[in-house]
Amino acid sequence: MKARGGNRRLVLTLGGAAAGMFAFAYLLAPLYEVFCELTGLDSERLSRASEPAGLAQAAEIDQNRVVKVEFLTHTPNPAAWDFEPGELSIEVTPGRAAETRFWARNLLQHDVISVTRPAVRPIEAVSHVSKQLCFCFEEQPFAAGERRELPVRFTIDPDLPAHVDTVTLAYTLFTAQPG
Amino acid sequence: MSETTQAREHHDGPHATGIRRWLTTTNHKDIGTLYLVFSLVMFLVGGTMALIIRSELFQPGLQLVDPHFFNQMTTMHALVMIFGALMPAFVGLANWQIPLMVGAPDMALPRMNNWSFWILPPAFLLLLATLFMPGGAPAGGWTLYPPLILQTGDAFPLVVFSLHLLGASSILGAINIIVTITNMRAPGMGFMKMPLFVWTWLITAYLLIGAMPVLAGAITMLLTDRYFGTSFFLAAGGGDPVMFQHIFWFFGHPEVYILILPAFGIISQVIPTFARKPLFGYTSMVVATSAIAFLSYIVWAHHMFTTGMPQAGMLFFMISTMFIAVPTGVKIFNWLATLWRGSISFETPMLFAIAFVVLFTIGGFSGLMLALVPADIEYHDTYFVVAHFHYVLVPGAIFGVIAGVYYWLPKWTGHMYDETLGKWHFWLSTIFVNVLFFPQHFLGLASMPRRIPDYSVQFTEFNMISTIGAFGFGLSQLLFVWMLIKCVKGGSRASAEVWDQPQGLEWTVPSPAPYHTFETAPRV
Ligand code: HEM
Ligand SMILES: [Cu+2]
Repeated sequence: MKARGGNRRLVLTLGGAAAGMFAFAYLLAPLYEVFCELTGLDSERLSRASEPAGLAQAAEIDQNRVVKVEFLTHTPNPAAWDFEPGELSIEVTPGRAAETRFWARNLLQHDVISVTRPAVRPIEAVSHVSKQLCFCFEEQPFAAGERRELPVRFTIDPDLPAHVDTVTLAYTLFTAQPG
Repeated sequence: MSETTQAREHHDGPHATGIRRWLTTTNHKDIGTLYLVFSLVMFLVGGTMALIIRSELFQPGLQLVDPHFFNQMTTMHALVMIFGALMPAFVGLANWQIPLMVGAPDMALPRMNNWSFWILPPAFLLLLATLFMPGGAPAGGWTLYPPLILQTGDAFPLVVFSLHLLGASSILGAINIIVTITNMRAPGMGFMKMPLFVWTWLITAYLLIGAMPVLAGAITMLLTDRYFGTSFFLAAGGGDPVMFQHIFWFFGHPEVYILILPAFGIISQVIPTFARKPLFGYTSMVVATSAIAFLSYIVWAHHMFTTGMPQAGMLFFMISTMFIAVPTGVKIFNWLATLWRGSISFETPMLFAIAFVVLFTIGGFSGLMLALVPADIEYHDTYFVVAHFHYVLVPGAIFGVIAGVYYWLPKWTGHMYDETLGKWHFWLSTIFVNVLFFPQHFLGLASMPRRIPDYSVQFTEFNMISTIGAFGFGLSQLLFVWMLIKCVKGGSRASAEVWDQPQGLEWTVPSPAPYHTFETAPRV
C-alpha cells in the first residue's frame, strides 16, 4: 500500500480535474462562438448590415441561376404578437439585391419593444447571405395595437454552393426584456 | 478482556449501533449496503412513475392524469432512474466489491465515502419534493432543454440544486474509487491482473470526473439565465439554445457509458464463473473499454442531427458513432467466446448475464440504426429512440446490476438466495421486458412521438401490449425484493467460495464477509 501522501496528491489532481471540467463547460460558450465564426456559421453576422461579396464584378452575376428563398416567421409569444411574412417565397438571382417585407402587430394595449433573431438554413448558405437592410439589426418600438411593415433587403452571393437551390430565412420575434 | 474477544471485537463488531452506526459509518461494506438499499427504493419509486406513464398510454385519449403531470412523470422517471437507481447501484457494488477484489482493507478515503452517500438522500428529498410545489416538478424532459425547462415553476432552483448535489456525490465517489484502485491494490496485483469489474469501474470513474462537472456547468448557466440576467441560451438576449444541447450531450453521451461500463464489468465476472473458463481476451476487453470511453467524448452530436448541422458535422458524428460499435462488438465476441465449449450451468446470475448479452445487443443494433443520419431524421423523438435506450438500460444496465446482486449476495449475507425464486424472477422479467419494449420499436417506426400523453388510434394495440408488459415487469420485481429479504434473513449457509471454483480474492474470505477484511494484504 502506498503512503498517505500519495493519496493526497491523487485526490488533489482529480479534484482539480473536476474543477477544470466545470470551467471547461463555461469555456464552451466562447469557444462555440469562435468555432462558428471560423467555420462561417456565424449567424450573428446576419444581425448586422454587411455588403454582399462579389457585387463589384457585375459580370459574376449568374443570370441563369435562380434560387428560391423561403420566409418563415415565429414568435414564442403569440398572445402578444402577430408576425408574418409578406410573401411566402421569392425567386432570387444570386448577386442581385432582393427585397421583401414582413408584418408585425403588437396585440397588447401598451407600448412594447421587439427584438428579432434571424436564422438561415441550410447551414451551408449562412455565409453566403448578406443583408443591407433588416428590422432585425435593432430593436423596434411598437405603440399599443400598432401594425407595421418591416422591410428587408438582402443579397445571395454568386458563390453559393451549386447544390443549394432553396434557402430559408427565418425570423423569431421576441418581446425585449425591460432594462 | 481476553485477546480473542478483543480480536473479535476488532474484526467483526461495528463500533456504533442502530441508526448512529449507519449515519457515521466509514466501513465500505456498510456504505455499499446503504447505496444498494437506497438504489432499490429509488428503483421502486421510479418504477411507480413508469407505471403511471404506461397506464395513461394504455388507451388513446386522456384518462388518468393531466398532460402537465404526465410530462412531470416522464422527466422525473428518467432523473430518478438514472441518478437515483442506476448510478447508486453501481457505486454500491463498487463499495462492496472493489476493496474485496483488490485485497484492500477498505476504500482509500472512508470519511469522504460516508459523505458521498449521505448527500444522496437529501438531494432526492429535494427533487421529489418538487412534485408538491406550485408549478410542479420539472416537466421539460430529463435533457432539461431551454427555453422549455426555464418555464418550470418555483421548483426550478431546487431541481438545479439537487442535481448539483447528485453530481458532487458522484464526483466524490469517483475520486474515492480511483484512489482506492490506484493506491490500495494488494502486492502483486498489477493493473493487468485486476478483475474486469475493477477495470471498468476505474474507467467509469474517469468518465464521471470528465462529464459530471460539465452537467453542473450547464445547469448553472440555466440558473443564471433565469435569475441573474445572463443569456447563455436565450435567443432574445443573443444566446443560443442549441448551445445548451451541445453542452448537455457533451455530458450526456459519456453519461450513458457511465451507466453501462460497470455492467460490462459485472458480466465479465459472471460469465467465466459459470462457463468454468477464464475470460476470453482479457487484454482486448481492457482496450475495448478504454476505446469506448474515449470515443464517448466525440460522438455527442448524434443526439442533435435534427438541429440543422453542416453536412461535414453530420458525417463526422455519424462515423464516429458507428465506430463505437467496433469495441462493443469485440466485447460481445469475447463473451460468446468465453461461453464456447464451457461447462455451463445456469444459475440465476448466469441467466441474467446471458439475457444481458442478447438483449443489450438488440439495443446496440437499434443504436446503429439511429446513428445513420437519414434514418435518424425519421426516428428522432419517436418511440424508436425510447425502445433503443430502454433496451440498453433495462435488460442492459439493470440486468447487469441484478446479475451482480445475485452473484455476490451469498458473499454479503452468508446465505444462498432462493434459486427457485431467482429463476421465476429471471423468466418473468425477461419475458415481460420484451413485451414491454419490443412493440415500442414498431410504434417508433410508425412515427409515434415520444413524451406525449395521448396518441392517434392506430397506435393503440402496440401501446396496450407495452403497458401489459410494463405491469408484468414491474410486479416481477416484487419477487426480487422478496428474494432479497429472504436471503438476508436466512437460507442455506454459503461457503467461502459460494460457486464452483470462482476466480478472485473476494472468494477467499468467509461468507458472510467479516466486517473487516484484508487487514493484512494478501499476496497475489
Ligand atoms: C452501439 C452503441 C450505441 C449507438 C450507436 C447509439 C446511438 C444512439 C443515437 C444515434 C441516439 C440518438 C437518437 C435520437 O435521439 O434521435 C441514441 C440515443 C440514446 N442512447 Fe444510444 N447508442 C448506443 C448505445 C447506447 C448505450 C450503451 C446506452 C446506455 C446504456 C445508450 C443510451 C441512450 C439514451 C439514453 C438515448 C436517448 C437520450 C434521450 O434523447 O433522452 N445508448 N443512441
Ligand atoms: Cu449518445
